Amino acid sequence: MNLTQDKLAALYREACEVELQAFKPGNVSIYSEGHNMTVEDFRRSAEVSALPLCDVNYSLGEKIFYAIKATRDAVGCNTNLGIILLCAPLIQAVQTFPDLALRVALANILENTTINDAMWTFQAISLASPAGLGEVSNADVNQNATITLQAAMQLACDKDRVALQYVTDYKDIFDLGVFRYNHAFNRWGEQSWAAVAVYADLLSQFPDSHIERKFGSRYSARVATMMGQLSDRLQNIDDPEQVKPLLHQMDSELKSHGLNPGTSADLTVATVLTVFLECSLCA
Amino acid sequence: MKPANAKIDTPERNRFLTTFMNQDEEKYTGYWTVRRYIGKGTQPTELNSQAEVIDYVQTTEGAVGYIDEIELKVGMNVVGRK
Repeated sequence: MNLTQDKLAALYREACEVELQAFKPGNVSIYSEGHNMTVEDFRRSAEVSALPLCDVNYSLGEKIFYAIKATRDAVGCNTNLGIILLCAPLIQAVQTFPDLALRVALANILENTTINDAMWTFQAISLASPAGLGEVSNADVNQNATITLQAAMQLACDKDRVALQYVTDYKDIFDLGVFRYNHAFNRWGEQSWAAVAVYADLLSQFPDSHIERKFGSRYSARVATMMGQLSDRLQNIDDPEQVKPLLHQMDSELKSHGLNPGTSADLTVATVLTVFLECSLCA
Repeated sequence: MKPANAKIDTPERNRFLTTFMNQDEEKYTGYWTVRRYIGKGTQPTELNSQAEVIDYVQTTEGAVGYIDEIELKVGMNVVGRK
């Protein structure tokens, strides 16, 4: 089934909005802003990045670059580099292989990335200027690309969970995120609470790359324990609203230390988009 | 009909999905997400124990559920056995 450019853009915006509506401790949501970013920054970023990201005439790398450029022009800071890096291959997959299962189509896209995709993506990353980005020999984003985008992601995947998705065909998202989202959504019927469940599960199982780039592994165990508790609570309650006091408490604690699990929030957006795409393709 | 499902990660649910539905948990939850997404229904009620399933079936008109055979009580109608 072919999803039009406008439909894909709408699904992407909706996925970004669901993530903003989800109370994700330590991250920005309608319940709690922070880290010098506002909900409006993220809404505006989703709005302006949607069209370049879904432009059927752009290559994967061009999608990434022009979506980041549009964001930078609109809000002047890095709100969505991880989101764009994760969502672009999903959208490219649907546009390129509309008749394949999404996971199979995505694997095809990732396997066939080019040096040109890497070049555009390096420019996008330089433009976004994410905090704590290091250098990897052979693939410094400030140099010209000499390897494919997937090969570049391979070099970065031990310290970046977004990069890891490029070399595992989004294993975290398909094997953990989507399953958790579907289960929580079917149980509670609310997309934003399903997104909270995904975020908590991801953080309980994997250290957040954004936190570790800034602080090393100093806080990783504490965050994992905290999110494990949240995940357990969510699995055993019929009304997720009951955990709101706990979410406020965790949010205050994380933000008081400057901890922002931004990579896990990015993976949450990509999970929600994956579900939306699969539902739309099935429907 | 008002079907009842066992809670996720229980042996009876896993066995039911495999034996009767020929599905795994991932396919099952994905199916119901699509159904809900397109506005064509929500997943069956999930109950915490076999005792709750029995109570639900005995007190709700049109209810159907699954339990281990050893939990079967006198007066319950059996639709199928596997």
